[in-house]
Amino acid sequence: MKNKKGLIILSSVVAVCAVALIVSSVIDWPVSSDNAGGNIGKSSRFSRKTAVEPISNMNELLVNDPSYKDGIVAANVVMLTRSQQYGVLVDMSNEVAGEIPAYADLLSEMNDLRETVDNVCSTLFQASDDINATLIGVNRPDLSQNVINSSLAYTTLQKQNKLADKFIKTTDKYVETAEADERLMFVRDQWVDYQMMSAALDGDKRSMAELEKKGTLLDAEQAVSALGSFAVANQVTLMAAANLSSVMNVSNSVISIFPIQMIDGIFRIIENSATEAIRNVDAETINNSSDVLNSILIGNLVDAANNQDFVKAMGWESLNRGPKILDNSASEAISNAQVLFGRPPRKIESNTESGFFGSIISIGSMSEVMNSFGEVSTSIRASAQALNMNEVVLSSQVGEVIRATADGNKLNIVF
Amino acid sequence: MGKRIVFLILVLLPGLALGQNQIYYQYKADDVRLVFFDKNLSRYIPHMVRMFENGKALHGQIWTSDSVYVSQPPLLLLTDWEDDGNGGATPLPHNLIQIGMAPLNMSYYVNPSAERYRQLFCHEYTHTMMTDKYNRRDLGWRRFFGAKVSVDNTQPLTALWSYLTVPRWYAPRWYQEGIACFMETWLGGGVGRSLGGYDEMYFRSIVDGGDKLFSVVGLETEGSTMDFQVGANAYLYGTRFVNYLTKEYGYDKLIRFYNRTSDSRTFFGSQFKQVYGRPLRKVWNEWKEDEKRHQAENLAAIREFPVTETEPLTPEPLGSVSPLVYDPATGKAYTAMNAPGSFAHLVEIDLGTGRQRKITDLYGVQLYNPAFVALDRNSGRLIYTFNNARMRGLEVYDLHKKKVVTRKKFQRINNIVYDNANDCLYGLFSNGGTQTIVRLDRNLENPEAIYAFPFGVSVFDLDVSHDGQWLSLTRQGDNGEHTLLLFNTRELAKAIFKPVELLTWEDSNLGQFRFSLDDRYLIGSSYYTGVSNLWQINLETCEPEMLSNTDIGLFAPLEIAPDRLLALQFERDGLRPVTLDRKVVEDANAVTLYGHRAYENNQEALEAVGLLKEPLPKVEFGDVYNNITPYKVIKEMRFAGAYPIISGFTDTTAWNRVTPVLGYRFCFSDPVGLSSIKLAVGMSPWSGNDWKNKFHADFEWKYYFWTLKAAWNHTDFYDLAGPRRSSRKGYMVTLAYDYTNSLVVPYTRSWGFALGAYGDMDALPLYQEIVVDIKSMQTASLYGKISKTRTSLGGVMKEQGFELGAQGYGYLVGGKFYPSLDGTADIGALLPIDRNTSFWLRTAGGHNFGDANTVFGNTYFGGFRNNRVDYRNAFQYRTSLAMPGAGIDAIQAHSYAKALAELNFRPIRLNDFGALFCYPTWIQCSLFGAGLSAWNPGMPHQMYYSTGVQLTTEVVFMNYLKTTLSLGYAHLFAPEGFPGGRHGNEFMISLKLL
Repeated sequence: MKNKKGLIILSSVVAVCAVALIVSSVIDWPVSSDNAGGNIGKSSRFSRKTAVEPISNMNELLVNDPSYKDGIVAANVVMLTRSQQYGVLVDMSNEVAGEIPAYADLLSEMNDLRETVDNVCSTLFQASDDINATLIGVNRPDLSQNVINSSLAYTTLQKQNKLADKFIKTTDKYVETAEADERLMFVRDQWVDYQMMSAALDGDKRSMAELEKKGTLLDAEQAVSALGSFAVANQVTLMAAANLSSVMNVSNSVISIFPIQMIDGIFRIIENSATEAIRNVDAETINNSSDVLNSILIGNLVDAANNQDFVKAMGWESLNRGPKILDNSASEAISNAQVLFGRPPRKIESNTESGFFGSIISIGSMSEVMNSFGEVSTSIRASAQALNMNEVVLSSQVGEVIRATADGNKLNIVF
Repeated sequence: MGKRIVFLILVLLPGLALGQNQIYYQYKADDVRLVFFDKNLSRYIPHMVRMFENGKALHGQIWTSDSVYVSQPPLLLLTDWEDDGNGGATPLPHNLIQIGMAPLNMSYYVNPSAERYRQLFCHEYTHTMMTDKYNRRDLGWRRFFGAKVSVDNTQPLTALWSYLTVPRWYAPRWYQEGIACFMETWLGGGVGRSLGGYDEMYFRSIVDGGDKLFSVVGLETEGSTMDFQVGANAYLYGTRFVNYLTKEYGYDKLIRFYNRTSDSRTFFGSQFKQVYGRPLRKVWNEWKEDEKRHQAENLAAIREFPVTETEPLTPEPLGSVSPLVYDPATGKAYTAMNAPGSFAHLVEIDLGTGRQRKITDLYGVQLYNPAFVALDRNSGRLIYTFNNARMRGLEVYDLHKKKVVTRKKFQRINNIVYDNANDCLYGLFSNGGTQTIVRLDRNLENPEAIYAFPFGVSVFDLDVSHDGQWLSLTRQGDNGEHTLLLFNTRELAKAIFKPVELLTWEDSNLGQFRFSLDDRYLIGSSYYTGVSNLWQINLETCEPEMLSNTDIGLFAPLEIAPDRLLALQFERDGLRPVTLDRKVVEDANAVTLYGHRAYENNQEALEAVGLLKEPLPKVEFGDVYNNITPYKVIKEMRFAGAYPIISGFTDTTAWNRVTPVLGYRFCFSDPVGLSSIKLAVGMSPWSGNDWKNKFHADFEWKYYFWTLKAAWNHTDFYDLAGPRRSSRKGYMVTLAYDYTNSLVVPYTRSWGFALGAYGDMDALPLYQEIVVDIKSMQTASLYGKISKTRTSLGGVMKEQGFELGAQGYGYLVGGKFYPSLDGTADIGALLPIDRNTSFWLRTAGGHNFGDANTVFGNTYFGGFRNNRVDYRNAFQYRTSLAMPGAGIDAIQAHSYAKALAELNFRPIRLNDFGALFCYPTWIQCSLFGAGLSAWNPGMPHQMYYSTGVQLTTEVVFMNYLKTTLSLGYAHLFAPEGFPGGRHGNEFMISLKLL
């Protein structure tokens, strides 16, 4: 009896197991097929995506707050101009000191940095492009991130300003013992200008005074001669930096060479070209804005070369070799640029724009902002004078915008 | 005299500006007002307003069943005072929602979150609706008082008025947080604690371990203090119970239970019975049974496949623990831990022997991840964060020198990790709601921002590869999705800002990922299956693989040797370090979330609740941004209610020397509470005092750090009961400045001064028994205090540290100045004999420089100094003027020195004792002995001794009204010739209200 009972139980267990085995193949087994690797169940939970309005408020700010717009755009102009200037000065340093052993280590360091300079410019172009697009009503979802990146990129480059000091120091030492050519001394003076603006942006009056004391090695006549011997693209970049110094009232050796009216004249052409370009660019063609601008700008520069005396002083007669290309296509514009400026556009990763033209579009398409930037600077300057303050105030403010954008705010709060 | 007072006030008026050294800003609309402190935050205000409007609109659809209620525009207070985001809400005296704008702390993914401000407003506005919503009866009381009445402990009647105007504010924490977590989840697309893996894990660990689930009263008493999660249990249990109510009885009933409607009951417990037809306690017990069934099913499902074996490194869980860091050269791991009964500290764990060694104390810890810890293996240094609940600082402990070598305050950097390849520290800098990856050199100097995220992006769990080339972190998306990001540090150095998006999980978390030893994988944890298991992500293929099938939860894995992991295993009492093999698991079951069961039974309702029926009108950026104006405190002051009061006044003809005074108090304040005025007027025509002492007026204006008080025949409620007397005849005008700085936990520094003018007094301001009859006198005081005190988890008082204070006080009477100086120094320590048991030595000394023959040239001691009914700290015997056993002010000393030794025993927690509206939480016993050395000119030196015992118990009424009942006895040993005799006995009974 007892054995019989046990047999029944055992049979039942076997039967249940058999049924379970069969049924398990057709019913939903607890292991979910929605898995990450093997038969790994994913926990069920209610989930609904909610359409969230983009949090980025930078685009809304640009549209709603003129002073914010001016600040961020002015900062971008400053960063871009200076990054361009840095790159050009590295190139020029190579050109004039490449064969001098005393500069070998320094130039090696500078050349290691060349890729970074291009990346910085590329990042700044992207931000400029996004700002431009936003200002004409095109939504750029990555605007905030790209503007932050541009400030970070610029800050990255600024960490290498010590190389500028090294170049100045090396040259000062070199000229004590050797006869340096004017081009070398000109580049050295340009690094001084660059550092003068660095100090102004940091509000570092002490460094400014020290740089002022170092002064320039060339007089005006020598400087004109030296400047004219470099590629036109480099000349224009240095003029852009000089223009910026002028707006911000920071001393600059190029300004001492050329009357500011002359530099203004060149930049009026650039600005007018940009304004014209903006008129020709709408939301649909924004991605080609740089091409449009390039075409217009080159045409206008050629016109200027034909008609303006000051262009001769710059050694820009070579512009006459180029055709008038106002109505040409963008690709032609790029190839003409190569002819005009004697070297191919700098390679920029993920960016088809040449460094030079990128710079132009950023400054040019912000011409309106540049004007207001000038107004802002004028008014601040007036206030500063009234308060018997130095113009460093304005420069410091731009520096502050850059730092604040990069850091989210300031590091190291002190209570 | 009057002229002198006016002159004094005029001289000090410019100083008022010292208090207001910061400009506040506001955005004000019809239905909301937002106040913030930094103009730079203006750009974020439109987003805040949009998220608030969203939360408000969603709630507006839910709590509609009573037409009486018109929502009051809340004040949104946006702050950036902490590095971890947070929120808070109160209906008193105005509706206020405070938003700490930093990203939320994502440690252990305790709080699943979608876009943080959307979630915070959904959660916090629930509190506003639950506590502010009124029916006709509540409205009647609010109209009668002119406002909602805040509880003021100097006037206990206000507790009653407050209950009448906001009855649902007086409900337990679990009640409030349960519905708020429920709403944050269902109004937030399913992301929230109702569907949270951590909650599920916590209750699974209780059931698996055979531990008890707290009763509804026990949760408030024992549950809020016993385990490492302390107050967070209210969130966990509340959410669980609300899920249960929804699952079993439906969504509609839940809303009826919480909704304050015309037919609802005032007390939440009665309302529960009305809606569910049974007492709350019974239904709570039913939930406990259901929870056990649910967890048993889940545990069975997990165990259908082999459960991953782990090897514990410590005999017990360590409470709250931060992810471990490890030094393979020494075989030692390090972490920050915080467990009940001891103070938070850094601990070293030897992986070979399991031996634990306390390294150093940690100050200012967070609940789940006490502090962020990084290890500099090259130099043998631990770098960790302190002041974690506020603005974090960084501290460096040198393992060789065995001491803290660097301390930097207010760095605001968290998620730190040390790059041993390049000798630098990475971390996330938090400021103004934004986050930035920063790098500091080995000396924690030269911070560099290397990547920054726009406002609104939340990132966490930063790690660096062993070769220093890669940084990884998790980014949280707007709908709670998690993405693992990789940054190439070499590219960042070259200004290439292109993070790699490694893997995105839409509705599962990706947490605490760290690089494998060969830097080919990231190993972390996720609640993908509903259980926090370990996962690895192949950096080349981006394929995730599961590394564990644990029954409770595993976190923060770290590969310590090839294919061997160090991790943290969750248990009911915290996290325990374990080791396990790194082996890919192919099969594992998912668990069912309790909240999902609630959803399955209420699918239609819960899907509809988070959807707006009507699209919300767009809040235009410019409309908000361009309408931000300065917040002017004085201009914003408004009438804030008026209510009847009762208080006591000295009356020598009465049997108890006190007469009752009936009066009315009028209140004015600005919405933020930076400036408030209270004016009370009263009369006592029935007293035996002169006619001029039958009228009473008290005026108090608090403005930032300043307090201006003026009174005529000052009254005090507590004079009605007990020996202590604060009321005084005559007039008084005082102006005081009190500044306290507690920015860095656990330090507090305070200082202040006060000037006062008194006239027609019957007793000295400080000494009730020292009768004077003078026309006028002036006083001046100056004090400074510094303290560093700590309370361990589960403690009810300060258990360790020191408190130092110094005070100068002076009377100017009849052209003579009577100065005195006093100092106090208290030092205490937690004893190793039992948890929460402490010993304190409290000392005091002082000297009067004035003429000892006048009452102004002495200090007076005596008594426990508690009133029968009181509002001050229950432990009055600790104050320097107390001398239990002697009468109040009975011992006179021109100079004195005093010491009191005190042994405070562990408080006994009570579980499930009392009723829903009234329950004791703890009982505690203290023994003390004091010695007082008194010097009086022309008299021999006198010694007084006192010894006694005090039993103290906390009793909570209506969940928010905490009272403390104290019983004490002391015996005094006095010297020969003491007027009260050589021996004195004193029994003390005191009820501290509110």
